[in-house]
Amino acid sequence: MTLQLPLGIRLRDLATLENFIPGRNNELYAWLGEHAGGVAGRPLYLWGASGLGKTHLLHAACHHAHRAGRSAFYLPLEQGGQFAPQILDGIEHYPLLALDNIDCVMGLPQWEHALFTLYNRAQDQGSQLLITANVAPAQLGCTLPDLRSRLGWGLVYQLQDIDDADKMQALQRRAAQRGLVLGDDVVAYLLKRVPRDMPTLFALLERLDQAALAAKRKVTIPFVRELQGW
Amino acid sequence: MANALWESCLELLENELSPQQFNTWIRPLHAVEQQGRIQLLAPNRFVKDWVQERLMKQISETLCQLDNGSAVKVSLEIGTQQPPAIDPTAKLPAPSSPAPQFSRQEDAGGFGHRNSLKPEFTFDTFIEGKSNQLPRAAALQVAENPGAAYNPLFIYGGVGLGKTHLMHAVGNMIMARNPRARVIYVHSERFVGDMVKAFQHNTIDGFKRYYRSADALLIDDIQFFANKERSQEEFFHTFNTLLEGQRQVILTCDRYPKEVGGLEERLKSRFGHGLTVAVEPPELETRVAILINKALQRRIVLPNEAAFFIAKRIPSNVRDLEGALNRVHAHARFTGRPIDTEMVKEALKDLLAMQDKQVTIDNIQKTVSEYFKIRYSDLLSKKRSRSIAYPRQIAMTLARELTSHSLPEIGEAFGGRDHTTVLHACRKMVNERRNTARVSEDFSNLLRILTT
Repeated sequence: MTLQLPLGIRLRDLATLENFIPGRNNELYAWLGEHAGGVAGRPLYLWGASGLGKTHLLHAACHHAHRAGRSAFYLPLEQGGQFAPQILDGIEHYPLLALDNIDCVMGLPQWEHALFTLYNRAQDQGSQLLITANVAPAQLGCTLPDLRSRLGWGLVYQLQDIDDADKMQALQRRAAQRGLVLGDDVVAYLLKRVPRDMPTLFALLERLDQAALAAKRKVTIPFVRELQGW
Repeated sequence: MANALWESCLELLENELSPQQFNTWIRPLHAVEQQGRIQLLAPNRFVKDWVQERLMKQISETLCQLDNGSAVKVSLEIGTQQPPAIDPTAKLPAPSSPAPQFSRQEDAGGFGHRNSLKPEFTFDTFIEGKSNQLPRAAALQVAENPGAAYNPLFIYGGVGLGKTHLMHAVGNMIMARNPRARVIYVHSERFVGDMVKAFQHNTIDGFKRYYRSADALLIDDIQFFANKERSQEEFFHTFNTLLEGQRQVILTCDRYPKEVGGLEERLKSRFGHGLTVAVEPPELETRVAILINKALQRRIVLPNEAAFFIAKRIPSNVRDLEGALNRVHAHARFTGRPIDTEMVKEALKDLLAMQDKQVTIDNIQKTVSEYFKIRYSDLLSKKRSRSIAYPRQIAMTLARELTSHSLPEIGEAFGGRDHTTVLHACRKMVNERRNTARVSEDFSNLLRILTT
């Protein structure tokens, strides 16, 4: 069966390992590349402030696993309020389990308990666990000591911010993915004028992309200046 | 390719849905494709209901669109996929079958897959220290004389102190001496889960037979039996049957039996009939020995001073020690450097940092004015004397490097200055830092104060 993508489909900002700029996180990055698609390693606990790319890495790991023929389950626990802990039932059978923002369900006994038993089942099953949170395991406010001590047992990494040169590269790579050319001069211009956290920068890119598409113009400094009213 | 249609559908949906939706609800579905019929397997009822309610319509439409408008029959069930090489028919249910599809493991209703002893948890790999001498000696006696020495053996203590290790060590020794012995290790959660499943599947007799036929039953973390009356009831009978038959029972718990809330009195009193021993947190020397031993097992070269350094900083429990060792090992593998104290410091930098210190502009301004002994208000003022301008420029540069604020924001925070002023300061400081020893020193001092 040969299939063609329908015309007019918008290119999405797919999160892959290739379009993540590791910067100072290169050790973690290498580890993920090795374990997301291949043999399961120790559970990974990844923590850091928001906007550094934790979610990106989890999505990328799922993508990577899928490409390698392994199934994966991703769960955003910041939406935990919409789910019941029963969503964790049976998911240990997935070779890759990505649990995003577990800090959001800490202090909730049912969730902590469900995560604890999932952790044990995943270990028995040999599934790779990838967990993210905004703080280190000790600061998590986890009331179940059994869970807390297990979270610190695997590999714990703090995700570090990347520098401006890397941010420039990240922006250009994402722009290229969308078929948008973003010159060095434009990116340097932007980095001097807006907050330099990646979510802000990517949101700005989205806005530029839409506006450029609508106006059928290239993204240049004058265009940016006009759009932003600078 | 068997799942070509579903793979194409995935490609389209990946573009249409948010990454969250796609990775949580769509990608985890296992597809079984046969004769134009697609069966999707969800891991549990929750996922199935969610997908059914919110995404099934979109899935069907996408599939139809891909199959040139023909109505592809698609159904959604609960189940897990077995690797096709083992049994290609196991995942294909009868079309009308309303029952959820379970993998063969669960299907069997058997409990035999639950008694797995970890071979690496032996007495040889258990590091003895003052904190665990007594429980180790007791466990060894039980292993040498199961069912007779102390029955039950009740080991309690905090998390990550080696209770599970000791329990497995006993099991492994019993098996080594008598390979035909039936040793069952189970976490109390599993016991409860198996029992619930047995009731659901009407296999409770099999459940009882399985646990009551053990020569040694090891149940971990019995505090999780709290408030589960039915499980306690069943466990009580199992427990009595085993004890009467002089079969060994070993239990672990995070606290002294009498202190476990939500547990029946008759159980608590039974637990006390044998021997109750506590494991304490390991003292420094034991922690060092544990690290060295773990490193040895994993063929990691860990010098004594490096082990001491880790053990001093991780006082809590063995899991945390192992977490630190994991991190050091990963760092050594990645960098190709041998492990020494300096390298350990580097590898554990963020693990040892108690809190992710959020550096703010305000924080930088206060620290810099304190460091140069000038007034905070001067830093924000219009004054341009060298004694004020230099600290101000350093502070601006630090704000640029340590926060993600924009130049205009930084300028604004320094008494409403223009962003070009900030840019000028940053450029100047980068230069001076390279060429002037004093500036470079001031910078590294301030960086250290602000980031550690």
